[in-house]
Amino acid sequence: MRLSHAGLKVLRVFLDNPGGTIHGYELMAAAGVSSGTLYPLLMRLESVGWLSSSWEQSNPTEDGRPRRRQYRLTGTGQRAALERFQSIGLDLLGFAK
Amino acid sequence: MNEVLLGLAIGFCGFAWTELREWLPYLARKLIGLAVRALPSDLQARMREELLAELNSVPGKLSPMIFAISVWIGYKQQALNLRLASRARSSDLIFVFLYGICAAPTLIAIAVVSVLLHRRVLTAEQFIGKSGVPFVVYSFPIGIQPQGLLQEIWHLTLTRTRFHRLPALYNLMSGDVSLKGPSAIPVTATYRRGRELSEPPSLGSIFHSPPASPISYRTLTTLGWAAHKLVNLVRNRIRRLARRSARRGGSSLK
Repeated sequence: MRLSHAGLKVLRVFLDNPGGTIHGYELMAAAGVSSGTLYPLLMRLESVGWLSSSWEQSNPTEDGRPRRRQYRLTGTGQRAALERFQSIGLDLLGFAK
Repeated sequence: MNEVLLGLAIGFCGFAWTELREWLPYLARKLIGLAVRALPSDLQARMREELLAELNSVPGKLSPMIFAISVWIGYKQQALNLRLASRARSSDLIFVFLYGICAAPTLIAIAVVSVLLHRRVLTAEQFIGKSGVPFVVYSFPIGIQPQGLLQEIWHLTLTRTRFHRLPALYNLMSGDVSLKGPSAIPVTATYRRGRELSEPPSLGSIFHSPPASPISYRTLTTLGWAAHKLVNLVRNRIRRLARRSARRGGSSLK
């Protein structure tokens, strides 16, 4: 799968939180990409199996806000992302946001 | 009088801005609803709920509107890309259908001669496809080391006319390649260069890619070499004549 610079930035955020779940707005702020770039990208990554998503386990009436969709990097996605970063020669820690 | 009018105008602008700010979250939600309509129907409900929940997290009154506009533009662009891809696919299929009908007798004739000369109909070669997924391109055998004059002439005929690549029409039909696209890269070369394509490679580049094991013309027999030279001679002669006639046409115009 071909990735743009924004795609690499999003993957970097997931690699910084291995096993963690992130929702769209949080990801948008962390990666510094616009919503118009992020959501189509998340759909693509999910369709190729690099990401999985689920609704958060919360009660909207108690929380006072609607439930959010959370994304998690899959094992395949983690391997592919690490390979991608290695192949393009970007140091994971040094890669600028 | 002017001061009164100015005061009224400022007051109206302030009122309009306050009113608009109250309306912005509602308009943003409406825009999200419009944006998800560009998605496939099975994803619309999920994405509407997800985006409206995210919209709720965006602080302020103008920022949710900017968020919604950006999503709307993103999805519109995605839908446009999908539409263009589907249009390209339709033109590929029409081309395969028409070209397949025209080339069918040639395909059958080449297949028969290939069986007679090389004891097989097709050879396989791997190219890199969209998103780095390799695919197999079949071609008629041209012989790695042609033996005898017949095989040599056959090899020259197929490689010069590129007819050995005619079975690649199957790849055009299956969607591995397209009429328009980037240059095809053999699998070995791709892994070496670490390159990947964002769209299917073009059929033209498959036709123009050299055979996996190209023949060395030094191994040809004398007659085969003569045939090869003759083909080159005729081709160069035709090119020279074409150039000369083009020059004459240009000078007569002056």
